[in-house]
Formats: sequence, structure tokens, C-alpha cells
Amino acid sequence: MEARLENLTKKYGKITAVKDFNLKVNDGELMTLLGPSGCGKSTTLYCVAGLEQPDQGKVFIGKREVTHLPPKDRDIAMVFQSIALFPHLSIKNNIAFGLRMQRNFSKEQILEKVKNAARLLRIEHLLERMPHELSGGQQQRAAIGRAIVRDPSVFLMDEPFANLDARLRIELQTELRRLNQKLGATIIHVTHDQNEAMSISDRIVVINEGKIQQIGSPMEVYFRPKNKFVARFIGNPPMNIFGDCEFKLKEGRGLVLLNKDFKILLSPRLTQVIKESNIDKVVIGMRPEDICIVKANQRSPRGYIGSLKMSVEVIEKFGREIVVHFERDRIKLRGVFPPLEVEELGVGDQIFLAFREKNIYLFDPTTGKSLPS
Amino acid sequence: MILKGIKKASKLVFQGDGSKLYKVAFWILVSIFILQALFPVYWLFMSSVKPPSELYSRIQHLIPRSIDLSPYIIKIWKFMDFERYLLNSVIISGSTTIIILFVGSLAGYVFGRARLKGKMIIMLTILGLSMFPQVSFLFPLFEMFSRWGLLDTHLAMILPDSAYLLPIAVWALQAFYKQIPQDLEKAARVEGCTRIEALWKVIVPLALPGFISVGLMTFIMTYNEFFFSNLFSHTKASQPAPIGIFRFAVGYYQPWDLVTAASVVSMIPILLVILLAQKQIIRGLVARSRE
Repeated sequence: MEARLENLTKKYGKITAVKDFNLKVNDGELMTLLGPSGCGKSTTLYCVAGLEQPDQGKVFIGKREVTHLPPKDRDIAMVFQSIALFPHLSIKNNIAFGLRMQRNFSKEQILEKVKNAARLLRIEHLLERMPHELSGGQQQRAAIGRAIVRDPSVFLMDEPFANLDARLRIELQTELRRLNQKLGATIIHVTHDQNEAMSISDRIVVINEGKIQQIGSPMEVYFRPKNKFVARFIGNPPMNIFGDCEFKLKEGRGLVLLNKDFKILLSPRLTQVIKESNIDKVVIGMRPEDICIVKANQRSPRGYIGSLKMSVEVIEKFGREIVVHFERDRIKLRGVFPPLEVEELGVGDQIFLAFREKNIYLFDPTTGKSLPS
Repeated sequence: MILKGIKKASKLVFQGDGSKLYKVAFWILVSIFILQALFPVYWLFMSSVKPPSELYSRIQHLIPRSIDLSPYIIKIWKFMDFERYLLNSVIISGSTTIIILFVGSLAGYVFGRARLKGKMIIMLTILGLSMFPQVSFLFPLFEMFSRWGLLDTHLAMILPDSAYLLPIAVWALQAFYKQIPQDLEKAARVEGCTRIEALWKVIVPLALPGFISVGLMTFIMTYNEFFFSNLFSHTKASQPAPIGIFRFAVGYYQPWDLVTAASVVSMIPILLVILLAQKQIIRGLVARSRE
């Protein structure tokens, strides 16, 4: 079922944790709230759950307003970062807990539902065990089982995989996506892990300091970030961003000065964009994968602009891709390359860098908003 | 059982690598401690089974020459109505324990888990009240109880005992509550519990070791309570065991065989409660350590 937040505001004393939040989660959608810790994403989730009371605004689940209902009357289920299985109950009783509280199922019905949920999560053989006898991944599966068994309108997930090791996390992310598609469940999922958000979400809400920065599909927030924060937050290694660069016109073409020695000659299109925005300083950003290495006395490839002389500082070899840190005169850049492309590169080498024109990001330095390019 | 405990303790203290001298010193000190704790009990028990001729003689043997079990079999029941005193004790201690655990479970929740302004001030105030000497409550309590006709009833001890021990119980319980992760309570509420249901179904079961220790402490303290009982109970209709024994011991004629045997018997309920609780506490600790 769909869920909707209207002008939600939550304050703790003088601190505003969530500010004027408007969000609509569609039926069957997996929506991720993404942001750094302390940005208000968990508070938002707790307001949907009814574990926190908002100071202003309304919460709807389906067509029903639930702003002032206790959690038990909201028809939601929640999975916690701390897993929060009841340690004194067996896995079976943990999963059955919510069904028993509803008091309208027979013993046989409950057992049947518990078994179905367990089968879906491949934990049928663990039903008689106590939570502490399970591994972390099995525990979190059981916790997800406890959530799906009641077939609630909306699932809430508060960093459910943050405590698991990397391999298990990826496995459970896939599992969650599978459940979402198979059950058509509406899921609101909170995380600070952008990889997780990108890999499983239908849409992502990027939040910072209690405010929505951008709502969009993973591809949208990656390729069309609305502002500097989103651009910097999404993507790993992060986007190379240079703030407060002077913008000059030279013979009709725009020049961006990273500092007095580093200049990037812009294309006519980008020049036009900055000119129309009426600013004399600009923030420029390029993703690590949009950088290419140009050897001395070679020309930049087609579609690339700029020619920055840098030296190689660090090479990180990840196998599938190589991250290279470039540095000169306190200007630092990171690039990602396929291994073959940088085979011959060594620390200390002097090279030139060019940037894919199409994927250069420009932001207004005062508002941080992205310029319409 | 005691030996096993000491062995465990020595392992903990030395982590398996103490020098021999330390180990010997440890065992000597522990033995002295156990002797001084157990000897009075041993002496009490031996005195209770000595026949009067030996009990009242000038020379006392560490091990009695002959044994007379008549105080246990007949005398304390027939001449003393000790079962009446024992029952009073159990009623008073049991009710006080139940009241304290019930009120404490709710109050502890508020102090341990709820967000409440001025919580610390209230907590310190009640703790401060419990530090007043018992005697300062004596006159008002006596006045109240005599007006309400409560003197020489069980309530005359249950009420002041509960009030007096509650603050410590609340402090202890809120500490236990605090250790239970907030998320478990949230999970319970999302799963369909009201706050109070979450308390009974999740928090209290998880704080069980805490409830057992607080219950045990309350039971033992009320069982041993002397001051209020001595003043508010006058007949065997309400007098608990310690008072009963005391009245016999300070009477004109001092039947030491009865007094010692009654003292030994009065230990039984406490021992039972401790054994019962110990099992639960260990089970709770084991379950917890596995988490």
C-alpha cells in the first residue's frame, strides 16, 4: 500500500531533526532514505512507525491518516539494525509474536504462516532454535520473517544490514529486493550506505540535515544530482569537486580556474550555461570515471576537454578497477580506470588529465544548486 | 557446591596463571572466611540437637555426645506454636515481595526507560527518603495503625516494609531495565503491543534475573525485619518468626533447646527461596552471556 508524508517536522529540543518533509511512496515501491548519520532519516522512519510523534505534519498509510495512532494500529512491520529478535523466545515464537498479538488466527493458521515465511527466507530448519544460537545473517533473516509473516501494508527497515559483514550484506540485499518483487511489498528502507541504496531501490531520497535534497531513481541521483551535496554523497570514490573557481571569458570561450595555475577551457555549451546563470564564480565537478589520462604531446580524445598537468600520488588496485590519486600544488583528483589503461602508470609519473565534457557538473557556489546543463 | 564455587572463583582471580604461594594464600583466606560464616550456624544446629543435660552443662563439646531431636519433632510445634510464627513470616515477606516487585516493575520502567523531565530529582528524593532511620517513621506509623485498627495485623508490617524497601528496589530495577535494548521494546510495539503489553511480554521477562535478585533481597530483608515487627505485632496472630523466637529467648524461663531449634527451622524458608532463585539467576545469566 502507498505511504505518504505531508510537511513532517520533528524537533528534539532546539534541534530540528526533520524539516518540512514531503514524500509519497508508491504501492510496491522500494524507497530508500539515504543520508549521512544524524541527517534525520531514522527519525522520519520512526514517525512513520509511530515510535516518534511528529511536531507537525501528517502521516498516511494507504488512504488512512495514522499520525496519532500507536504503532500497533498502523499495520506496519519493522526490521531494526540491532535485529531486535526477542532473546527469550524461539525463532518460531519470534515470528509468531505479531500474529498472536492480533488474536484472530487459530494455532494451526499461525503455524502455517510462520512456516511459509520461514520457507521463503530459507530458515525452516531453525524455527525451534533460540536467537542466540543463530548467526548474524540467520538472525536478520528471522527478523525479516517476523516482518513479512503479518503481511503488513508497509515495511520499514532501519539500516537492517549495517551490522552484517560485506558478503552477507549483499546476499540479504538481493533477498530483500526479491521479496519486494515477489510479495509486491511497499518498503521504506533507511541506510547510510549509498551502494546499498543504489543497488536495491526503486527510488532514493537523499537527505541532509533533516531536509530532502533530492528524490529520484538511482540513475537520476547519480547522473543528474540536484545539488553539490547529492553529487558529493552519491558515488564511490566520490566526485571530484572544486569549489569557488573563478570563471573568465577568453576570446568567447569560458575558462574555469581551479587556482591560478590550473585552468580548464570549457566547451561552448558549458560556457553558455555559466553565462546564462550570471555568476562569476562556479563549482565544478567530475566523476572519477569521467577522467582520462593523456600522455604528453598527445591530444585529448573526442568529447573530452581540459588538460591538467598532474602527478600520480597513490595507485589503489582493486582488481576490476584501479583508483589513481593525482596531485599537484594542493589540487587533488581521483580517477577510476580499467586495469589495462593504467598498466604502465607508476607513482610520481607526470601526466595530463582530460574530462568528459558531457559529464561535467556545474554548481552555483552560493546556493549549491546544480546549473541546468 | 560451595567447593565448586570457590574453584571457579580461584580460576577467575588467577586466570590460571597465579603462583603457588598466591593460590595457597587464597585458599587459606577463603577457608577462614567460610569458617567464620558457617561456624555460628553449626553451633546453633548442634545446640538444638543436644539433650538439655548437655545443653545446660558447663563443658560444651564441639560434637555432641548424644542427640535429641525432640525439639524439632514435637516441642517447637506443641509448646511454641512455631508453625504460626513461620506462617506469619512467610505471609509478611511474601506479600511484601509481591507488592514491591509489582510496583517496582512499573516504577522502574518509568525511571529506567521513559523520557521524563525531572526524573533524576524524583529518583534522588525517594532514595533520600529511604535513608531516613526507621525510628523516624515510628510515631506517625504507630498513630496511624492504631487509628485504623491495623496494629497486630500482617498489614501493619507489610505496609511499612514495602514502603521502606521500595526505593532501593526501584533503583535496582530501573538499572536492570536500562540494560534492555530500546529496539526490543520498539519491535514489540510495532508487532502489536501497547506500551504496557511490551513491558509484560518483553521487558519484564528479559529483566527476570533483576526481578529475582530484587525479590530475593526483599524477601530476606523483610524476613529478618525486626524493628517494625517488634512494635506493631503483639500476639502470635501476627508475630513473625524472629519476634516469636526473641520473645521466648528473653522470657522468664529460657528454653534454649526450643529457641535454637526454632532458629534453625526459621532458616528453611530462606534457604528454599535462595535455592529456587539461584537456579533462575544462573539460567538467566547463562542465557544472557550467550547473546
